[in-house]
Amino acid sequence: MKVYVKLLGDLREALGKERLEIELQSHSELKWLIEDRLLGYEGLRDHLIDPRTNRMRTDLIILINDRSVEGSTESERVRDGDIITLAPAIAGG
Amino acid sequence: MPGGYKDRIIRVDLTKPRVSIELPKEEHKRKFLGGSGLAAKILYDELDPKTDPLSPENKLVFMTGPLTGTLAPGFGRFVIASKSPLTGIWGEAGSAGYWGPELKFAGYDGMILEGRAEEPCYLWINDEDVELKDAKHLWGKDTVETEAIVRSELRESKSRILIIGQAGERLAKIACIVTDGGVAGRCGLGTVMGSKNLKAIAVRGSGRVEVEDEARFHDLVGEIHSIMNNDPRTKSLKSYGSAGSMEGNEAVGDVPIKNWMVGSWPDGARKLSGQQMARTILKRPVTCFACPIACKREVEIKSGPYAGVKGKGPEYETMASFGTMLLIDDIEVVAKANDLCTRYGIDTISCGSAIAFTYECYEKGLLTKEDVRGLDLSWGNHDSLLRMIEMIGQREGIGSVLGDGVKTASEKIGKDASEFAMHVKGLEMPMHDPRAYRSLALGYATSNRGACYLQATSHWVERGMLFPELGIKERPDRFTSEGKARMVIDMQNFMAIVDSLIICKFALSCGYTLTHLLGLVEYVTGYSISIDEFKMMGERIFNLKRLFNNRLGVSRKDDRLPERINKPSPEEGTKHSSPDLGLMLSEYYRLRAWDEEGRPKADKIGELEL
Repeated sequence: MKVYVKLLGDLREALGKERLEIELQSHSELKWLIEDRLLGYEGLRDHLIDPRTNRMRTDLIILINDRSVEGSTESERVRDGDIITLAPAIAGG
Repeated sequence: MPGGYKDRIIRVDLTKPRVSIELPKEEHKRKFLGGSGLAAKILYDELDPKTDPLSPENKLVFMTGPLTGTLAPGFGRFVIASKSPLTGIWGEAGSAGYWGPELKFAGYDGMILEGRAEEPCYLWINDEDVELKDAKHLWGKDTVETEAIVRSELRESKSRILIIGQAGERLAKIACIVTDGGVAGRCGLGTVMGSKNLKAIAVRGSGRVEVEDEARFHDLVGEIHSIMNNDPRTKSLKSYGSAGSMEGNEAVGDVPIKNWMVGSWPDGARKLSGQQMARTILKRPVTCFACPIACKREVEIKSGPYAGVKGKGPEYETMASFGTMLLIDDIEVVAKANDLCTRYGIDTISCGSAIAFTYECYEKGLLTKEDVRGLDLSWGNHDSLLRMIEMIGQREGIGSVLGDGVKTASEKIGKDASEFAMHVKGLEMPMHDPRAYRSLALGYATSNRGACYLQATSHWVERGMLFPELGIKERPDRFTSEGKARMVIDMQNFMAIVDSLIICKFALSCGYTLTHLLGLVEYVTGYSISIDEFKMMGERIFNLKRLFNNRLGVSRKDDRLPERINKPSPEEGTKHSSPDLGLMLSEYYRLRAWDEEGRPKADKIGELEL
C-alpha cells in the first residue's frame, strides 16, 4: 500500500520537500513508518527521534487524514491512501 | 550574603524626588526567591488595594532573579510588576535581552518606582550613581528615536535602556515597555510608567555576579550547554524563531484565526511562518544575554511599500495577532505593524486583538465607516490595520477607545460586542486556543494576570513535553477536560518558580530539567533546596498573587472565558468542541484548597506561610 507524508515547518525545511510517497509492504504501524522508514531521509532523524530514548519523540505533532493522533501511538495503523501530516512541536510561541 | 543576589534594591520616589537603597530581607529571598515572587511580596505588602493604577500611589517594581547575570543559559530575563491599569488586578510582564543582567552588574537586584515626577524625566543608573534627568525633549518621540538620543546624551554606548513610546505617554492602557531584548508587553505597564512621567530607564554596570561554587557551576553550565546545543528545539528557534511553530500550531487548531471564529487556514499559516521569514525578510537571529538559542529576529524590508522597516522582527504571537487574527497573510505587513507597535510602545497581542475585534464589529454593523474615520475594516485589509495602530498610538478617534483594551472598548460600543471581545479579566487572549488544548482553558481562567498561557504553559504537556520530576510522566489527551486540574496546578506552581529565578521558558524547553535548576540555584546562591521545597515555593508565590487579586474582589465569577470559547464552532479544525471549564474549575479549587469562591482557605495560607 501507499501512504503520503506531508511535512510541515522544520521537517519540510530539513528535507527540502513537502510531500513524500511511501510504499509500505509488510508493516502498517504508524510507529514503524516514523521510527524506521522516515529515518532513511536525511535530516529528519533529529526531529523525529528522541536521542535519550532512541524512539519517536513524544512531542511530535501527527495527524492522519486531519485526525490528530493523541496519546500512545503504539496501536496506530495507517491505511492505503492515508495522508500523514507531521510537524515538530516547538515550545516557542 | 549568598551568591547571586546583590542585596540592594533601589527605591525611587519620583514625587519628592528621592533615591534610596534598601536591603531585601533574607526571609523573603528564601520564601520568594526573586523576580516575580519577590515583586509579588513587595506589592502585596506595600500597595493599598484601592490604589488607582495610574495614580502616583501605584508602584512599578522591576526585579531580577538570583541567577540573572550569571552565565547559566537563558537567565537574561527580568520582571516588571504593578497593579495593572488594563485589568485593575495583578499585572506583570517580563522581558529578556540585557537590561536585567546590566542592573545586576550595576549592583542591584531590583527597583521600586513610586510617586509621579512633576515633569517628564528619565532615570540613569550608572553603578552607584542613580539620577533623574530631564526628558521634556524626549516626550512625544518614539522608542527608536528616544533610545538613540538617550544613548548619545549619556555618552555610554553600552548602556541598556527601557523606554516607553507615545502610547504610554498618552496613557493608552495597552502600552508596553520596550527593551533591547523585545518588550515587556502585557498588562499595560508602559502606561504606569507614562503615568509617572518616566520616559526611560538606562543602566550601566561595571560589576559582576558572584557565584558560591564556581567550579560546580561551571561544570553544570557546560553540561546544560551541551544538552541545549543538541536539542532540535534550539536549532529550530535559532533558524526560524518562535514563529517556526506556526504551521504545526495551525495543523492542530491552536492558532486563533479571524478573531477566533475560524478553525483552519494552512496557506495563511505557511505564509506567516518563521520558515517564510527566514526566506524573505530575516536579516539575522538575535540572542539575549548568555543564551545559545538566539530566537529573536532582526528583519529588514528592502523594497516595496514597506521598504525601510528594519529592526525587531515579529514573534509567533505578533504574527498571529496581526496576521491570522485579521486574515492578513503578508509577512511584510505584519513586520510593519510590529515596527509601528515597537515605536509607539504598544503590546502587539492586545493591539491585534483589539483591531480584530473592531473588524468584527464593522462586519456585524456595530461600527460604521463613519465611526472609524472612513477606514475599510474588511477582513484582510492591510492599510486599515496600519492606520489603526497609528490611531491607537496617537489616541486618535476609535484608536483612543481601542487603546484601553478590548474589554473597555466592548463596553463602550455596547450591543452584543462583549460576546466577541476576547479577553479574560480584561487581558486580551494570547494566540493559543483552549479548544485545541483543554488545559489552556483552565490556565487562562485562573492565571493571575488574566488570559495568559505562560503562567502555566500546560499545553506543552498536552503536546508531549513531559516533566517527570514534577510527576508529569505521560502525555494526556488534549481534548479531555477531566483530570487536567492537577497538571495545570503543578505547571502553574513550576512556572511561578521559573518566573522568579528567572529563566526564559524557551530556554527551559530546550533540554533543562528541574534538577538542573536546583543545581544552578545551589551553586550560585548556596541555597540547597529540595524538589518539594521548590514546588511549595511555587505554590506560595502563585497563591500570594491570587490573594492580591482576591483583595481586589477577584473570585470565581471572574475565572471565566469569553463565550466564543465555550461554544463549539461549526468551522473545521478543532473548534467543533469546547472545554468543560466548570468541571475543571471545581476540581482545581478543591486541589488548590481554595473555597467555592476561589479564595485560598485559611489552612492553606498557613501551610504556605503567607
